[in-house]
Amino acid sequence: MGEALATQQLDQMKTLLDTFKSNLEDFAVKHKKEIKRDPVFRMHFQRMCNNVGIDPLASNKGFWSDILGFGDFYYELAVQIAEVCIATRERNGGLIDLGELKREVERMRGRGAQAISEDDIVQSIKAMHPLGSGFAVVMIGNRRMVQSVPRELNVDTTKALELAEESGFISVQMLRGRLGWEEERATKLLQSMLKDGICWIDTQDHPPTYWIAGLLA
Amino acid sequence: MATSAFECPAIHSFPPFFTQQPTADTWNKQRQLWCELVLAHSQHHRVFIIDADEVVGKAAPFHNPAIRRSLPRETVVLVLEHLVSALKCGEWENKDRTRCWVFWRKPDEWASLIYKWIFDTGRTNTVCTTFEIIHGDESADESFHELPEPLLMRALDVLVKQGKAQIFNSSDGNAGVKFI
Repeated sequence: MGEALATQQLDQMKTLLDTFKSNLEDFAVKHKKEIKRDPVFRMHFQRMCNNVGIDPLASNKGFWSDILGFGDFYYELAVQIAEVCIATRERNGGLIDLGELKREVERMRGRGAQAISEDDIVQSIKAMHPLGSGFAVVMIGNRRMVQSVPRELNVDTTKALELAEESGFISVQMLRGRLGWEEERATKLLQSMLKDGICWIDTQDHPPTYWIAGLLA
Repeated sequence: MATSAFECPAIHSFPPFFTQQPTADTWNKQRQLWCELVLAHSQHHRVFIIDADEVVGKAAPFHNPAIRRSLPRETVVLVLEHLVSALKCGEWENKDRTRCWVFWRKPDEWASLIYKWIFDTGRTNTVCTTFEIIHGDESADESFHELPEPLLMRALDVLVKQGKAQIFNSSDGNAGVKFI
């Protein structure tokens, strides 16, 4: 009795989901143009899909990519993201602000290209993940940054970056005063950030300040 | 000559751009960015020679008063040295490495432009003076008008080597050139 009920409910559920899926497909076909053209619309659509467990990016073949050409869009974007990250790596140590990355990618795509949003960049980076690219989106305070060098940002670096987010720079004095660190801890961290290329030092400031190259612009 | 203002790249407002970076990879990139900036800026303002003693703390792009930063003299010299030895886009006037010619156009590019003008205006097989080429009214609209004499001579040397010009030195210091 109970088992029969459970089966019945499961069947109903399946039918419901199938209906929803097919509606979603109809919706996608109908709004194909908006999804392709409007980055905000695309973001909402992407989220709606994720909520019901459909990933339009999951495969480059099949219904979703055929209808929307999503696979191509995101993979093309992924290549552009990789190019910008690699081209600016020597300058910023492989850590770049998402907004700046978007501007650089837009410049590369040219004026006539389809508009993109920061969300598209995040989706694209996710799509690259199976390739073992080492690209990752990291939260620094309230800011999203893209890391293109496989590296674990340790707690101290993250805290220092959060502090730098306000003005673009940090100093030994700021780390001591604001985070209550010992001088040696602050100096060591800043030296290692310099070595990694994340920071640039300004010795024309007294005492010297350390600027995050990925926050430039 | 330049009518529009030169637009400096964003990094020119980044204070540490004016400090030589201690990390080798970063410094290589920084030096490259400085060289690109120097070439673009010189081309825009038709600057042909940079004097390290004159620019430090005074002249753009080595000085940015908006953020109160200046590239120190020794770093200016390192940037210019890279322009000369690695990029072949410059030449020190003397061994003391103070004044540096900036080749935002290389001598062979000036040579082609000059030869094109000579050819287009029917001056082949005649003798011109160097004065006529760079200061004459007829070259007023040409990009090589008012080209400094040493750069003109470098360009003419290229044409001589190509067998397109012969140089005659005259006593008044004004060389004559016959284009073939």
